[in-house]
Amino acid sequence: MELEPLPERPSGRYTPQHQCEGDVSLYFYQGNGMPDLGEFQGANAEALERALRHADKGCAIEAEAGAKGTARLVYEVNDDHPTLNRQLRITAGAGSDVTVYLVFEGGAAGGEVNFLHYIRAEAGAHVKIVKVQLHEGNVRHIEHRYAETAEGSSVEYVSAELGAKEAVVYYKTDLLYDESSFDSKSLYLGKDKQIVDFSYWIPMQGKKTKADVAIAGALQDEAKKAFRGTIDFLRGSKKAVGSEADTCILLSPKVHSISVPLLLCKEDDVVGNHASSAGQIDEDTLFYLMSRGFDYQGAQAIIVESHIRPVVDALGDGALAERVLQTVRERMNSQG
Amino acid sequence: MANAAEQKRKDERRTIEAFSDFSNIYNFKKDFTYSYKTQAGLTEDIVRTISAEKKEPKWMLDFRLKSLDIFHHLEYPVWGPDISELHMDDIVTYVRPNTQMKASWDDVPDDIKDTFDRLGIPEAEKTSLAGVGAQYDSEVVYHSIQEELVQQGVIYTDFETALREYGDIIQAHFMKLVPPTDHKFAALHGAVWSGGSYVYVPAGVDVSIPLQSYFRLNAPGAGQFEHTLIIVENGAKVHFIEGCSAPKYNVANLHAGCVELFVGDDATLTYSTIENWSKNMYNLNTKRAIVGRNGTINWVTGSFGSHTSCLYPMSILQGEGAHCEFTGVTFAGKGQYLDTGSKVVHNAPKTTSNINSKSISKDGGVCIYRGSVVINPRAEGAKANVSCESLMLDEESQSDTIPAIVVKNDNVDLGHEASIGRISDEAVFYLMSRGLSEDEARAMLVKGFVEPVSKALPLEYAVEMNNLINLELKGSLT
Repeated sequence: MELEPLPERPSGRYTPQHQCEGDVSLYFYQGNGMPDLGEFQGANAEALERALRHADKGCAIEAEAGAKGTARLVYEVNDDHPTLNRQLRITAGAGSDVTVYLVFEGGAAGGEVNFLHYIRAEAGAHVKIVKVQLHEGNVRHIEHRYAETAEGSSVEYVSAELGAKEAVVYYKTDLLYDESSFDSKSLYLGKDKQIVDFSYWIPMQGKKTKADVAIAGALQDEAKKAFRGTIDFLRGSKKAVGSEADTCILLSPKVHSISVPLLLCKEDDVVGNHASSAGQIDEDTLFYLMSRGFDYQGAQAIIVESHIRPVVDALGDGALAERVLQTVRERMNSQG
Repeated sequence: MANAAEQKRKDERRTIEAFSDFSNIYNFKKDFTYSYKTQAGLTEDIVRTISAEKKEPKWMLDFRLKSLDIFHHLEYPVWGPDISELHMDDIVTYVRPNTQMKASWDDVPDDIKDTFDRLGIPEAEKTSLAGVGAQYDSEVVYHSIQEELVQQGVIYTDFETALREYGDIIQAHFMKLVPPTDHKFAALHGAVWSGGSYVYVPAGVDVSIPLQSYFRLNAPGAGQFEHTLIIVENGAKVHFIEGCSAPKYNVANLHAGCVELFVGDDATLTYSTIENWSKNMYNLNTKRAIVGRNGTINWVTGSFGSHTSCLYPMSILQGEGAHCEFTGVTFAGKGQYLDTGSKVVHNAPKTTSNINSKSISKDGGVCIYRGSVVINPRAEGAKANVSCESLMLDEESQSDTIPAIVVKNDNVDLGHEASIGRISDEAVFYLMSRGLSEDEARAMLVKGFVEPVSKALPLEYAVEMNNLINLELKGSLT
């Protein structure tokens, strides 16, 4: 993706709030702590290069075989540290179960978050990343996330993209070994002239691999959303199942929704599905809610909330879910 | 009883013989004779020669030369199928057969007549068509239309005649929907186009049985660049069928035709195509329609042949309430790369579109659905529905769907779904338990899969398509 250059800003050695529970370890490191990412291209070549070569302070989360635990990281952008050029490396040992909560918040004029993840899930491991992005509208948020799965492992993402001027995420997950799986659910609420850009690349080569990508959201004002999803059934992925869905509620005549859900298939014994839909809120439902005493905006907010509710529920953290819902309500209510 | 049984056996034998013949219908070769052909390659001299041979007006020569200049300045497309084996320097862009255009089959030279006889064109004309055009290499050799339609003001003629007799109309419409600047092969078409058909249906006239143009490319290493222009005035209705075939040679052939369809307010145009080019053909065709208020364009396409195809019929829904219906099936076998799809641009309120695409790939064939739906800000209340289904018959094949959906206003209703899969083992088992062989069961399931396309075609063409599917499944189509 092409991005307008931002002015260079100093980047400090800011340490995010962090907390661990259970049998996982978390530590910070300087310099590049990433393994060779092969052909991983990221959201933008220049931003990926910066995250690889000039990262400020990386964070590593590790779990031994069979371990179970959670880690929480809160990254805040403000005038003291307006840019965050960061890495996050997660290594989950065989049979482990790791959940990482990531919260991005705050704002600064010309602020930027450029965040590179690497996830390695060993055989039978489960890694879940819950991300809530609540930046103010003066921040550019770029996220590159690359995951490698071993046999029988699973990677799960739940994301809420609610802030930033531009939110650009690029997720690549390799399902090259048998019975590995990837599940991603995302919600967004585009407002003002915000750009929300999702890209997914899922090469599937292992037998009985499974991929499920779902994006649900709404656009208001002059917001723009792009969804590019590629499920690539490579030769050998027998009995693999892949699906991607993109559903978008359009709340203003000036919004712009782009959906490019690709299914590439070189293996016959697979099932691939994609679906996308875009449209207004159903008038009958709106009328029904208004007849029960809600005003127009309130009724709209309820419908949008019910649309994104499955993703909110999947966050798996009551406080975070409540914060996401509160943000959605505030953004809906301030609709111009 | 004995007579009835004997009759039944005879009928079956006739059916089998007819079916056996079918496998050779398309791939017979005629001696390559011609009255004139240009040198291979593409130069200004060749373009000037084609124009001079046709005694064209100056504006058309100027148009050709401008297109040639654009061709030289445009790059070959870098997306999509590999066309690096197509060398324009080896392609003969104009081959005039050994005859002038005739109004009677009796006057068409025997060898050419025999070609179209074997393709069943005169028979179809007698039984189910209101008019026929037959193009052999670069020129139309036969054209006819029912007298009753002529009386109603319907025009169906070859493009050269149209250029002479209706020059102003042609000049006003020629390559206005597909400008030469559109892409490299549109520019090529503008420079060397030859042959094709012109159809004009006056306001309110309903042409109840179809018109058909058939394009046969016989010359090895040649290109076919026919131009089809159809104008359907307000409230009129017509069904146009296009058939294409060529024998197989061991050199590349090129088809870069251009179809421009103008559909008026409340008018309906159905454009059906059964393409069965030989497997040395690069089919890089461009088709585009613009539709007025409450008008309808129906595309029905069956893409079977060619080595490589890039074909995405485009509909511009320009008037309020305009509608597009696209129903297509693509079947790619060994060595084929068929990149097909549909593009719809919603430019007016309450416009609607339905895209229903099916593809089947077998023996290493590659089917790509590449489509696009664009709903522009003016198209309030637009509705669009896209459905792509891909069937893979073995593990060597490939099937991709590449849709793009762009929505630029909030008052729309858009749905898209796609699926890729194989024939279910359970369904095959069920049919086999009812007495069918495995091959028969699979053929039946494939024919069921493409039924929406068969149903949209006139009976004769649905039968032809089913036969093509049978042949593809048997792998006997060359």
